Amino acid sequence: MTNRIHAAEYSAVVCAGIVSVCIGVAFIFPLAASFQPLFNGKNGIAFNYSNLFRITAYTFKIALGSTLTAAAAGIPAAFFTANRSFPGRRFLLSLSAVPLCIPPLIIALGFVGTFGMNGALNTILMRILHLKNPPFTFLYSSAGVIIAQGFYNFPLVMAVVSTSWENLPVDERDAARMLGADERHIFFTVTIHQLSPAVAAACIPVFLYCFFSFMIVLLFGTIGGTTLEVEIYQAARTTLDFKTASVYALIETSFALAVISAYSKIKPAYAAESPASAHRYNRTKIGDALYESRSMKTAEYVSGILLGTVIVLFFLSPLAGILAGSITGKEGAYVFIKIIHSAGFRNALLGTLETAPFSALLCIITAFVYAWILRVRDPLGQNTLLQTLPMLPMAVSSVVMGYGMTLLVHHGTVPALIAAQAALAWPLAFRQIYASMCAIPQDTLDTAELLSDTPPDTLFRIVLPSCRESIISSFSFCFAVSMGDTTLPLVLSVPRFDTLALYTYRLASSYKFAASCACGTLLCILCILLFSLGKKHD
Amino acid sequence: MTNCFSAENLYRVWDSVTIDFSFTVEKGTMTVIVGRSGSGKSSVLRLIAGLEKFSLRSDGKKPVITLNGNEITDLAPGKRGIGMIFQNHALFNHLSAADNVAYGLRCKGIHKAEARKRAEEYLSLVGLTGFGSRRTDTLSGGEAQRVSLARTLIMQPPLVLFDEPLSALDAPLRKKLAADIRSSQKKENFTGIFVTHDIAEAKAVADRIILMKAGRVQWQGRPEDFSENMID
Repeated sequence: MTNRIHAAEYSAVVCAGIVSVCIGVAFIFPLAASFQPLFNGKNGIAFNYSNLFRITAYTFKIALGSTLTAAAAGIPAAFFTANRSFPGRRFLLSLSAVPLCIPPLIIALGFVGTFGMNGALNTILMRILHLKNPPFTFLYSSAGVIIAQGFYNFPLVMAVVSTSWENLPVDERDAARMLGADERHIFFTVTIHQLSPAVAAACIPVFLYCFFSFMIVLLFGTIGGTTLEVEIYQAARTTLDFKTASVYALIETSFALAVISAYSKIKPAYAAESPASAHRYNRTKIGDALYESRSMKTAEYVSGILLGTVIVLFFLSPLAGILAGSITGKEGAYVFIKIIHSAGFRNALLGTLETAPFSALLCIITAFVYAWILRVRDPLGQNTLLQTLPMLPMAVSSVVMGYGMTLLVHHGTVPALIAAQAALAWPLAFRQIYASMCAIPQDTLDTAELLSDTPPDTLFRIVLPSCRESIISSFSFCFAVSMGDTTLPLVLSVPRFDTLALYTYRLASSYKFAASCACGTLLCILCILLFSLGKKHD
Repeated sequence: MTNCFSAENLYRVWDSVTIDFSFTVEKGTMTVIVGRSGSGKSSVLRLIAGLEKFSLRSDGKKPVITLNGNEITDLAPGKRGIGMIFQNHALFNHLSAADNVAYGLRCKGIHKAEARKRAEEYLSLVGLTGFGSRRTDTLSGGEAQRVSLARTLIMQPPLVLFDEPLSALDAPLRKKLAADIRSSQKKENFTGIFVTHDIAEAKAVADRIILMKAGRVQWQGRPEDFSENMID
């Protein structure tokens, strides 16, 4: 009996190892394949260099603009959530789940439903103010892309900076206070330096998300205003200019790798910012802090109201706009019943269930195996190479991965889609599982090893049960991410296959806006449910 | 001797302890508040410094803090004329040692070159000649605490609060720094309130000891009259 258990344990370990290697292969081979056309042919690459510079500069501008917008809203919001108590504080903090669980496509639809020419806000304002033309016309421009992406990602900056701000050691600021510095001077000479690692740690991933942003640019981008990601897609899928697609892919990935390398250097500095002081400030009401001057109090109230208005306008309204967009069509709320009973929706739902759970399963297996290797091989977290490897998928976009996979398998297939999704998403699971694995004391592992018959015993009886919560949580999270992914299914174009996200996109691009919003709302609800389920186990 | 400092009705309610504390300190002396962890010693210093809010008393008595005859209860921390040394040094790690020491002077609007020159003088005073350009995260615990002392003394405050400044250091260094603090206090003639849980350290620096238990004054008197078993 014991032998049979040991045999099963060993088999499970071998299988998990094989799965992880396969996911590694599913990452490296498509990535290599995406650059392979660069080495084909004898005449070298012939393409427009000025286009290359224009598109790279535009991509950089959009990503930087969006990151600055996210920081401009996220850092002041973090000040309020970390230092002040006010009604809605918890709700504001909970918004940090939105960029993680609501796909960008849905946000894009929300912006169209709110700020589009026939959007809810434009319609209301035109009626109230008797205007002939819609007042908000920024949507289909660079500003529209920057605002949509910036506000979509601002809760991420807010959450990271807020947590750091809350835990900042207060003694340095108190020392500055005792030496006669006023609150403004303290912010610029002390707090900003204490916060800078957290700001960088929050902004770099946001910059990368925006750098790789595909769906929002595809929907809102203007003629001539296109990003590397969209150009790779167009070259690979529409004009079939693989060399151009590969050049763009190489530039995009190299730049992202440089950013990742900077991020990996900043991350330890941010992690080292631990709460060192026994004293913590209690959150005060807005304008009620100790010794704040009257002008500072007024500034705090005014900036709080302004920030709240901007967040409601550019973040909450588009979210509400998705629902509004679905029920304000000709069919009203009946559109939901109609869409649920449609064959297209059923197929899409089946397609989603055919991919997302398997992709999530592969993610957690790979994440667990790598986390265990890291825990054993580098218990002190000092091996830079091993620690940086899980960040590499962050440097590869879905479009590049999909493009490389298409070059490898020629025709998109469901297993290729699952493998590509898992190859990019497993680091999301890794972070959670590795954190819970690191929380197991070394003494516990050593004792377990001494008492175990075989090495896998420790893994199955101690490590796996200790990481159970994080495994469930990351499974739900990866499930939601895969379910909301529009890009890979679009790029791989599996014949006669749809997912909910892809179906929503198809409805939107065929101008069935109400049906698209209804499908998006349902997708959004499913993602939130899954995400909340994961959070319960976090 | 005249009272330099007095604090009446310092009152603050925490979950674990209620502080209800009144005491006076004579000019140019060092008063040490001794007590177990959680007895409220550090909170008393933070209330005096203005870094914590008072709780409202049911009997309506208001807290009153006076320094050199002036009431400072409602003044901002930087305007009270009080210096404070923190347990973890609280140095600004993005600044050099000299810039740390010059920070308060710069807040007062003193020109950078002048502030820097005076900072170097005070660094020498605490035995750190030539340390001005060092980053503070490269300093040892003892050196960091000396920079912190110089940063406080350069402002020439009439009252200096020491919040367990030596607790993070090893025993021989603690003894040495306690003696240095005592000699600086005599030389600069400032009034000090020193918080610690270490009896030997308390006796080494104190002119007077106050024993604090559960947020209240339990005993006060001369160091030679204080014995360790009073704490239990």
